[in-house]
Amino acid sequence: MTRIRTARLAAAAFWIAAAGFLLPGAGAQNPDPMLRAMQDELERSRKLHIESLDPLYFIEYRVEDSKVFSATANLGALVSTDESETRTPLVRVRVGNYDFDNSDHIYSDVSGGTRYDPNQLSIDNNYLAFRHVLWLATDRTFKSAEDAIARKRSALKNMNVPDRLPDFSKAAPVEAVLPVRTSAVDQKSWKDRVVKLSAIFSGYPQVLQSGAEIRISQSTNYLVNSEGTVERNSEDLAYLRVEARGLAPDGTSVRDAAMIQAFDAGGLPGEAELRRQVTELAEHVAALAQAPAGEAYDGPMLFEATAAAQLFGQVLGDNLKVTRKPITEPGRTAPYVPSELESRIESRILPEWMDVTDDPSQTQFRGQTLLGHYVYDIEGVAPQPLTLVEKGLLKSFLLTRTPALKGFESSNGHARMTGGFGARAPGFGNLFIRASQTMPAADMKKTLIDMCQQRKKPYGILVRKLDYPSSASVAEFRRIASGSAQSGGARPVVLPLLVYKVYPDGKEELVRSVRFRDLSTKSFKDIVAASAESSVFNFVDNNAPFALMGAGSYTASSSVIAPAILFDELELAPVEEEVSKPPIVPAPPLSANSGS
Amino acid sequence: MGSTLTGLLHAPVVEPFVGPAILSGPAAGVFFHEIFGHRVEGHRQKDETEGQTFAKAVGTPVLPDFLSVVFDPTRKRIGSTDLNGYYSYDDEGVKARPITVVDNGILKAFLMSRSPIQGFEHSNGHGRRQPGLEVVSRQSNLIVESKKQVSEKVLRDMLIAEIKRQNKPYGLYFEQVTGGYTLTQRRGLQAFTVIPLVVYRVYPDGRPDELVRGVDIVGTPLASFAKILATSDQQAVFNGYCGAESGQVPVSAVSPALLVSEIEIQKKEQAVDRPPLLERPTGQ
Repeated sequence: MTRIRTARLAAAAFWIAAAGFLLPGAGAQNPDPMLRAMQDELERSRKLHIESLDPLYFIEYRVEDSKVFSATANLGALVSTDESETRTPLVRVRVGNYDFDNSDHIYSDVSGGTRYDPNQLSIDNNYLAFRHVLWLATDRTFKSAEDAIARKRSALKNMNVPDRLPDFSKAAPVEAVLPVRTSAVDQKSWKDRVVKLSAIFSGYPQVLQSGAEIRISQSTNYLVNSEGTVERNSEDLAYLRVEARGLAPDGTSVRDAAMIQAFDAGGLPGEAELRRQVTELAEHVAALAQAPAGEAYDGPMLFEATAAAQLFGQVLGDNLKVTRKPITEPGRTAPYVPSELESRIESRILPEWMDVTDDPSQTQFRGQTLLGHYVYDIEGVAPQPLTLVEKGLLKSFLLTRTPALKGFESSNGHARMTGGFGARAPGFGNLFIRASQTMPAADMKKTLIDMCQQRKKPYGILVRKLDYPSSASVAEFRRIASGSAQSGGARPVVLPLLVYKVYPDGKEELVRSVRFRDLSTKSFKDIVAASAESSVFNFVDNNAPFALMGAGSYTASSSVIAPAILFDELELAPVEEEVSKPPIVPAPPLSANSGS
Repeated sequence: MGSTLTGLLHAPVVEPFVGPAILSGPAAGVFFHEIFGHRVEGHRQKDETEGQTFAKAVGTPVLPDFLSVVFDPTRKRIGSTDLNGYYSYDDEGVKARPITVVDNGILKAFLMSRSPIQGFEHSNGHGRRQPGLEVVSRQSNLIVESKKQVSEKVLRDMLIAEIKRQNKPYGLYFEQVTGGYTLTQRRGLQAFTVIPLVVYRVYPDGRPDELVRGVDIVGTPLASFAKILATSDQQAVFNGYCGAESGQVPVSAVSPALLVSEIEIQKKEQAVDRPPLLERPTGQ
């Protein structure tokens, strides 16, 4: 850090000499008023100190400028439209030093006192207005940081922490000010399209509730920190989200949802393809409403490539995100769930013929766009291709600048979302699941049938789609999570949405209302086959459990690339839910010519 | 507004005090809204957990005999000020109408939704709610009418006379208030608070009024009514949003300024934040 700061000062000195008068900080040169305000206020904030308290050693300003257009429609009618433009500042201040600072305590994110800074910056470029907000935010955050480090120090006096990890790792500063991209959104045509797509459900009386939403966001992220990082980049995302729910005759709810996403609206599929996908979803819900309820099952289970990618993303992906357990106060439990893989480094977690890597530098896989591509994470660290599992052995984790485990103390560029206790939350970019022993996808189902026949099972199970990212309601999520806690499973696993019984003659029968039982990262050792072909599963991850659609305060677009996989043995159990009676009066007519 | 705020920054903090005061029209409106208005909402008269201050008081005096209180949702404006509690139909589709709740000090009626109470079996157009919530009886435009009106100047002279009579060092003038709240349930105290923004100390010896800060008005309803001595002849409006079981609804309180013989003030809850450590940025 010393070296970097010297370099900055030298540059500033040169500039001062050339201009002949003094301006505060190197940032004064920046033509972007936002970056200039961030740099100038950051320079000035280095002076913050309170006599006899811990010195400030790190400041980070992140500003997320976001323009969003969205429209929702239901049964061929527009329900809402929204257009917003916001600039959200995220200010981080660390006091103490890299080894011991104000983070990693249950009160690390708690801000005491009255807050005078708004949580929005002006959307007009007003240099002084930006600085005024950053000034008050930094002041508040600095005081809260001093408060948190004192509480943390006092808590530690009452506990024994062997091998305490450093609190923050160093990272090389990055200077990358990329051009700001914006493109016009054809709002009218997207409104029309989402209305038309939502009308598809009118033809399905079994669908009781449905909706379609288009959301097009264009973001510019600004990042400046006291180590010399100056970054500006654009990050766009467009998605169409479609959901449908129905009731089986016994009152059990059935549902399906889809999110179709691209970096920009132009990258979304054409209307014909969107219609095909929405129709397919409506067909799924109609079929599920008539499908028999599934039974308890224990035996071979085949996941088609999309379902396999979802399973790896949720179960393996979530457990590769290790976070640090916060220091708490006596008698208070911290809201923290450890990763199942925390103590499994160099242990076998997959068959020896499987590897897992994360490579955010890839933009495409066999012609398909990978949504998990990114150049810098939200802490300004560039990710490198990362081997997570090699020949079945766990090698590494997704890491941020907050050291989470002994031996994994520096970032590998995977801080993708805001996290807790002063840290950022890790996430993956493009998670590649690779197998060196494969068979053609077409042979996988036959292998499943063979296994079932050998074991004298009347049928095997094929899974085509999981509820991930999940469209569960909050109540449903709670039920799943508490059910999983009761059955002794470590972390809850999403529900399978499309599950088929596969009979010896190859016939498939859709069943509904089943959940996985005892599925965890330990189950992956029992993978017995993988297909030669892989699928790309793009989705929008967020910091809510199950990447619950529309929940979470922060999103990260991600990809999983996986083959179909066959498990030697997995269990299903029936979902038990309180059922409601179907509507008493039949649905009103929905076709256009029957209304008035 | 900016200069009042600058004044408040330098104003002294007052100590708890009991003494005579003038509540400006808007302050008096909020005072009536809290201590009186919430207690004549019909549904509170049949709920056993409620204080039921006036449940059995119909036909008896509840206010000084020179005061009447009308709730009139059909009044769209007073003078040039639009009234927030104006509506044509309530949220149960009942036509709005003016209701005289207190006539020359005597309680005559309650504010009614379609939920009946003993003696008042029909709605009088005061079933209100915020969208999405269940209707209960709520206030509309509260209008205080007075038969003991004096000019603002005379009212001030009466305050000074009262300060001297009680031998107090000063009285108070509550110019602006931001709102208030009251507890009507039995489990709580039957009390109210009015939160002033701009308050002056009024001295009996001719010194100029002095801006002060850090006080809230506190009191109990029945004790407070008896202390109203006179009113001014100028009606003023407080427009606001009232929160209760059925959410936030727009309301108005219209009243002349009130002279009260005794009002109690308590210290305001206050933050102890340290001012910003660095000077405000000025840029270049």
